[in-house]
Amino acid sequence: MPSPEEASTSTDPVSFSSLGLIKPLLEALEQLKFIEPTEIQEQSIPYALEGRDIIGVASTGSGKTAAFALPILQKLWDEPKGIFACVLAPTRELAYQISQQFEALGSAMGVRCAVIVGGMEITAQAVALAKKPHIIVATPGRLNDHLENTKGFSLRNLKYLVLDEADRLLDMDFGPVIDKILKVIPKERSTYLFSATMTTKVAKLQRASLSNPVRVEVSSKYQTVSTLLQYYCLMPQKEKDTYLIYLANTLAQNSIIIFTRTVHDAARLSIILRTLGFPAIPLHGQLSQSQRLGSLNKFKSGGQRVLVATDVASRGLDIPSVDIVINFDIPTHSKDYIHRVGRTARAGRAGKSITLVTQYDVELIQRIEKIIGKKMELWETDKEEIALLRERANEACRVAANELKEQQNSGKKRKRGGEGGRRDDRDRDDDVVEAGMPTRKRASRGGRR
Amino acid sequence: MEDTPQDVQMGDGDQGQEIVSAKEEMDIEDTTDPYEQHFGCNSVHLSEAARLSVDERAWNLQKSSRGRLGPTHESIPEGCDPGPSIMKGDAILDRLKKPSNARKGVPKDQHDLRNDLLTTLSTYRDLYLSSSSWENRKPTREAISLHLLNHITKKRRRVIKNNERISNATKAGNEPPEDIQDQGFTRPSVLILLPFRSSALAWFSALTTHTPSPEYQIENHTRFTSEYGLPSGAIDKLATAEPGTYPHDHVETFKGNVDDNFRVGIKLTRKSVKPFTEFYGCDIIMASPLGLRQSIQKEKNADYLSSIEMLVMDQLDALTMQNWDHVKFILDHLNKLPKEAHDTDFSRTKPWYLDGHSEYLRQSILLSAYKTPETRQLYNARLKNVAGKIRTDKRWPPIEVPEGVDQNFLRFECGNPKDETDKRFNYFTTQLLPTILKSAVQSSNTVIFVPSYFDFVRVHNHFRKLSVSFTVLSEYSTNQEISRARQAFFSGQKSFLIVTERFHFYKRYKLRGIRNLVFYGPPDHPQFYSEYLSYPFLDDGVESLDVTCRVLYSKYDWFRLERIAGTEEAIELTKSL
Repeated sequence: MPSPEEASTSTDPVSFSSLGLIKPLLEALEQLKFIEPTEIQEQSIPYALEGRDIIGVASTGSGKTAAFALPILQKLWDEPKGIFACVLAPTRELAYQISQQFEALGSAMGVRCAVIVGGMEITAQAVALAKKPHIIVATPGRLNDHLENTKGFSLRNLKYLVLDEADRLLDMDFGPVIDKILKVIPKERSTYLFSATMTTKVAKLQRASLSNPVRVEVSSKYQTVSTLLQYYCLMPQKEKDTYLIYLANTLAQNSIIIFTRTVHDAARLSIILRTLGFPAIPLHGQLSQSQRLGSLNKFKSGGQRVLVATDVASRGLDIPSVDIVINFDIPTHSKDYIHRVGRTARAGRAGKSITLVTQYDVELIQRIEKIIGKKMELWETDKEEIALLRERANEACRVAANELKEQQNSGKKRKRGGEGGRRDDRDRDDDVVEAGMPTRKRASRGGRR
Repeated sequence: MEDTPQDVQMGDGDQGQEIVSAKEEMDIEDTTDPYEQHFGCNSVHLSEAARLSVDERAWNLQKSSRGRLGPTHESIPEGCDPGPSIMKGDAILDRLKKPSNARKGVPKDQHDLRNDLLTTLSTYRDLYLSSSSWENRKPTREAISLHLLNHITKKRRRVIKNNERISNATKAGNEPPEDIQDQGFTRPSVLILLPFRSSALAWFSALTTHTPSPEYQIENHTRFTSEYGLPSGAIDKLATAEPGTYPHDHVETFKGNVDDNFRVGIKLTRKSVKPFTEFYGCDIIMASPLGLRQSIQKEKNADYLSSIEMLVMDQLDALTMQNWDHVKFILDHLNKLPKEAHDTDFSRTKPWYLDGHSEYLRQSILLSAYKTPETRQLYNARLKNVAGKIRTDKRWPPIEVPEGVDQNFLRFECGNPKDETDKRFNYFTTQLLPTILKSAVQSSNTVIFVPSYFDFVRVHNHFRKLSVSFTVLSEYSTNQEISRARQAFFSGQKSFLIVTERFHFYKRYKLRGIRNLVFYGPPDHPQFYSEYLSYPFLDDGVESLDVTCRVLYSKYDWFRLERIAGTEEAIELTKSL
């Protein structure tokens, strides 16, 4: 594979029209109040319109979706046909978000999108695909499912393939499925890879079989945006819950995402916070797909101000009004840290992130600091106030523990099959192993046939 | 001919034998063919405006007359042009028409009926024959069968032709053509809902009159006859009885195998008719509502009903006497998006299937001996065919009753169909029954005829509280109970007898010892009314003056009243005061 050539940065002020975009798109941009292109858009669109393959790296919240959506829509306008482009995303929520963006940008030209993700009804998707949508936005597992099992569906006339959050898609979990999909997509196509963090491993990139790609990088890799203020908060391990409640309490007016490492913590914390009167809502892979979308919508609309999520929500989701990201656990991959805190301070807005650090996590935090090239500041805490909260916090923890136990008991029957090794898988949400109930439903259906 | 598994799966039967002649090839491409116009890829009838009108129940009504079918009411979705309301000639393939054309000695009126039916059906409008008598059953079924066969043949021929095109292209190493959209989600396209196995047998023979040997082979024929007829050695006491022993319509309905739990798939190929084919590989599903419902509940989906293009419901009058709930259940599951793929080739699915619009094109054919509120509701609300719908309209003469019997029609006021049952019960218990109980003559030898079982239970419970002797007969009575009740009533031991309409429908006993008749509501079957009015005269020395008859009714009994009193009289009776 030829090494990607580096793109140069120009300094002239540019507008969308000077990038060579056509009128229907400009109108849509105007309606969406996108006034001038972001750096990544400005740099990648001209290459895309030339027909080059692109590797786009830009920090979180910098308009990557539009950077690949606009050129695809423009080409679609020239040559309208069904199943024109396929966008792959690692999570279902992100897939929905990308399709919304396509629909918004392509509203003037009547673009039709289909979202093909796990957890939804297969035949309804088969019908949607048979209607030959212009754009398919999919998670890899389910798309491959359709390619293998849905009679009459193929990607043999596909013109564009996009891998959003490409580094995640090209890594171990998704790799094999992506390989399968790439086998049935024509070689003569344009391929775009986009992410905030991009692997440099040539082996991985080769998976995507790019041809003569240009690498557009608008931030040095692994960077967080400058409008983001990053803090850490030191505490003993056993006081973690109390400190979190203290933080939630002092930051009550803000909209907050709390990231946890496990589904169990996400469920537990959301119960604790709700018990104490905070409008908290969980989002993790053990919820059904409709519950997940419901949670996200409630949070987006501002009905619930606190979202307690696992890494399902860490990548790509654009929720405009997130003020604060709290890392309840330190992410094991420092890349995940960048994606997590990237949920706030998007598109030039300000934002804060607070990472809870216990005596065991000091090394991890130092590693992250090294990668992002910044020192985090200490978040000041009020010892007395925390002491006052302690009793209520412990009480809430007990309530939560009981409630979870009850849920588990009532759900024992349906969970039995999924116990053991699959428990960890549920949170993966990579569609290789599907999260929550739908998997079992499908499995049992398959068994009956 | 043996089907290989591959063939069954592909659903293209005997491709090797399919040689499409030059002439037939021509009419495949013929886009003016009514079949193409209605069920083609770009149906001319299906527009957004039409669908909207149908959904909002905005229909343009017009009256016309259609030969043997009599006067009709026609409904066309507002703002749509569905083409000519009657076809010049039918659109039936010559090959299919040949056998029935060749038949000699068909009475002229039957021949005319056939033609009128075919020209009407060829418009692909829904058709509701609301007063089809049992005399015309056979020719009607044969004509409809021909229409169904025509539909299936045209559809299958197109599919097979396209299969060939695709396989030729692949063989030649070309990309197969992409724009072929010629089928539904699943293969079955015709559903025939019937009350009894005997009706299925009659329909099967109607279908096979058009597929004579040696051009066609009928497989599993003996099995079909044995499963849908009576077991060998059984004597059908209705069919073998002297004419006149049992009422004609009773014999016609109940002779043969009256099991009401069955379903069968029939596959058609160019050269064969094959009953007992698995549902996803068949063209016609013949079933009773009960049988089909059980299958749907067992399979947990009704995907084989997703692509029904023709729905026939025969003997609706008998279906309403069975469980109407099952019928509604089936209709709820028609033309829905399938839950599983069932090897559907989605790239070949017609666009209006993908859009979920197939119910707007389905042609429904309803046959009934008379109108009921249930079937009218079905016609009004459930038939969404954008080509429009036609129902026949019969003007009923007053039914014949023994001369000199004083018929007393008692009307109770009711402004709302929801309160109807309560108002009826109130009127009966507070006004009608007290006057009957006051009179010594009228409070003995009295039959109370209750059309609905629900009302029957209510009236029965009311009588339990009264201190009068009474007995009951319903469809749930055992033979022992029946003979005991008849005996007790005849001997005068019990003064009152409460019967349901279904009891009479299934059993048709002659009841002796009647002097007074009270109809809690008019019966659905007009002949039941005249039968009951004639029963008092079974006993010796009964004068018509000894017999009293009262019929309780409200304006919501219009359909039933019309058949008893006659259309003209019923208008008078229901005129607002």
